[in-house]
Amino acid sequence: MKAFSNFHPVVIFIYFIAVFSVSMFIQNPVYLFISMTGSFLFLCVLNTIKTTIISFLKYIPFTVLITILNPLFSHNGATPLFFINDNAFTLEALIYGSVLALMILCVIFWFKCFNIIFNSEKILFLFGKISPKISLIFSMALHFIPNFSKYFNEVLSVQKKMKSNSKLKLYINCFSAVITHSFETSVDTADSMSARGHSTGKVTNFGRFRFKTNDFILLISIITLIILTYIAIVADNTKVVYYPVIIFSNSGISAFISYISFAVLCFLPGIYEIKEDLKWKYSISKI
Amino acid sequence: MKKHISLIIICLSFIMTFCSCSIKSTEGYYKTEETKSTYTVNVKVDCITALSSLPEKLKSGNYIPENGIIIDTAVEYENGDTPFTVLTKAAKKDKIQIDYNGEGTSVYLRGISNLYEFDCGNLSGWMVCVNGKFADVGANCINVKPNDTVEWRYTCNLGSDIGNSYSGE
Repeated sequence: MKAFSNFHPVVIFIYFIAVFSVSMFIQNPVYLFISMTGSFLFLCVLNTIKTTIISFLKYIPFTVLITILNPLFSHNGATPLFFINDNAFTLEALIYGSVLALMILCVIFWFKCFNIIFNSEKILFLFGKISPKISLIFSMALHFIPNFSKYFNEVLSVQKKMKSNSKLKLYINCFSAVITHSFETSVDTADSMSARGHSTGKVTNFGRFRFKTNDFILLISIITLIILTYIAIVADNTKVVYYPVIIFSNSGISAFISYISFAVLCFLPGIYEIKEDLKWKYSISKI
Repeated sequence: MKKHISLIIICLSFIMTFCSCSIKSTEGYYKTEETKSTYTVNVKVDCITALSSLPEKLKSGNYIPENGIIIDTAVEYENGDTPFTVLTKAAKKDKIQIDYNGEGTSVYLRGISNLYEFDCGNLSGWMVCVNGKFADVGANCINVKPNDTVEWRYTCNLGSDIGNSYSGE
């Protein structure tokens, strides 16, 4: 189902860097909206539509909170809506807050996609040559958290069936059991690693990734798209000034090209997944 | 029932904070009150030093006048007025935006008429002097007397360009 993760890790990593560099640092609502829809589509394809919408709804109070908190602390802006304790609550600060909230939501959603696509094997492959030990520790640490929560849920489901006085006590019991278990497994892991000759020689790693023609095509298209996006950004054609009045400069065709190319970049993985999905279903029905 | 109690407490705390805030509409805030006092205090706000290096955002719009004097007015004196309260009164009177942090004696003024600290370099910001003498305490810590002149001046170089150079300790 995850066709996009079959690409070479370097290409996927560059793709995410390109998307993050725009959605993290460019405070332009058009880019953020494109980025948000792109990540939403990608997550819908990776998970199911229902879980994506539920996770989106979960973040709505959070975004509302950021939107309201910004004008409470920043009184900059030319159009005051009303005054709280003689401090202006301005329209500009409210809009800036909503843009910030959208930006944070964007980054969270892209990281959700990143987590699904980029597993520990890819991390080991990418950074294994630079520093094998750190990447090994990193991937083990990343592996630890989902393992911990999975085991915790298993223990909890058993404990719930037994009699318990209070909910708090139940959770504390489960937690201590899981902690003990993870200590034990870590000792086991260490033993197992030393038995297999860890730290006797140089650490090498094995990756089953080959750089294919498809990867090359994707890499070239990512680079051209991100350059096209950045031409307008560097030339300040898509700059938005929020204070004291909002100035939204969308000058000329370069801004338009920039928006279009960024939209293509953001929707690329989602559309690719859908295409591969349809291909799979079509080939099944033929048989 | 326990759940309901925590919910009620949260709601109550929200209502309390909401009630403790005074919310005014824009017209209500800028409405001038009738004069009760016979004494006045002169308030001047200028940013002459910032004119040569005005930030891009302030070049359009009528936030900074060409001569650099934003406020030049007299406001009524009340007992216990400080340079800061005098400025808020003058800003209310002239409908000028001000932005500050903090409460009481720790008030810090960040911007007047959308000209903020750090807008003209790392050493820029607002300074206050009463009768030509710069205060070395916060703007809400000293009292002004009737007929005083309170000047808020913008500096681009930590005070040395407006005659209040910073001499270390």
